[in-house]
Amino acid sequence: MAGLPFEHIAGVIKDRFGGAVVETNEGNRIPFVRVQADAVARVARFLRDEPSLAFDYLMYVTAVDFPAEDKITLVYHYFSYKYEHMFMVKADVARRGGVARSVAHLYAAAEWLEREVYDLFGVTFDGHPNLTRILTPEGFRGHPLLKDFKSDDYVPFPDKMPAK
Amino acid sequence: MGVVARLPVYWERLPGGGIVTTSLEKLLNWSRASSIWYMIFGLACCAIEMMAAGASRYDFDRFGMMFRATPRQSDLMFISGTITLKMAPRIRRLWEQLAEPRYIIAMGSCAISGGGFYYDAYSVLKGVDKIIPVDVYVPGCPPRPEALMHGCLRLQEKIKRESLLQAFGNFPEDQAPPERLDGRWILTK
Repeated sequence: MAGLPFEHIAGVIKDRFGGAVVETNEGNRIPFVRVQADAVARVARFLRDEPSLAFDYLMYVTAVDFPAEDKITLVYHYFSYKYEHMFMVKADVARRGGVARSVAHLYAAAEWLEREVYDLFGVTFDGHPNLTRILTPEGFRGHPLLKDFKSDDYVPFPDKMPAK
Repeated sequence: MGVVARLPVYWERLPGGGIVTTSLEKLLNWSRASSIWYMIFGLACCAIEMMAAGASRYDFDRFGMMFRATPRQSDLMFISGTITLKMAPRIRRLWEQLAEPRYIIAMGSCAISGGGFYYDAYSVLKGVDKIIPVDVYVPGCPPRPEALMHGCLRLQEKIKRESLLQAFGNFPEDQAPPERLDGRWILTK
């Protein structure tokens, strides 16, 4: 019932996509496998369709901005209701004009999740059926979760509060 | 006195043979202030307090305040919570749909100034009075039902002071509502 351990799943992924796996990190609180951005969809299809893994649920897609390293890291978190095990896949894309393969044709939930990442980080998903903004208002400019986001409305929190 | 044992106080105070328009105004204002129907419309956690104030423990009904499910039949709209930039044009449209005379109570810090979302927020409007005129501000985060009730009583006082010309949209120049906003007002602002 406990499901497969991370090392086993990571080993299977490595055997299957050896060249595309960049990094295997077990020191993290949630261990993850980092793959190349164009392999995201292939890995997702394998995770879903391989009977011994059976990841039938994509919990979330999100992203993290690393301006110092000039990259955005996409995070995919999978869960299997059959075996009750989890698995995290990460992929790095460029900070401006980053592109990854969409997994919306594999997991229906990814359609909105990828739209959200596109809206807030500006990452494009190749093969997405309707890649438009989902959260910000009509006519919004920029991608607000990028750490260098600026707009006229935006008031940064002051370093020192004014004295009374 | 026949069937009516005691007339309402405004009738009693009528000076003998007083000026009819003034008396009519007072009578109408009394009836308007005593039957404020508010729109059932909530935005965030302040809406929970608004519901508490409307329910039986605090009981808005005793002021003649009942909720209506459409702006067309409402006199009052509570702006009860955080106004996101995405919601702001919708609130503006609801305000335009409210039948005149219409009143707005800005409830809580977020509706007044953006509140806790003033700093470091890309998605929150910093005060509802940037898009619609506000009659009463009720501070708090969120305000207690008693505070909201106090705001409603102040609104009643305001309604009773009004002249009918004011109430039905003939604003003096300095009280005119903001100009109609473009649908994409965030860009054109």
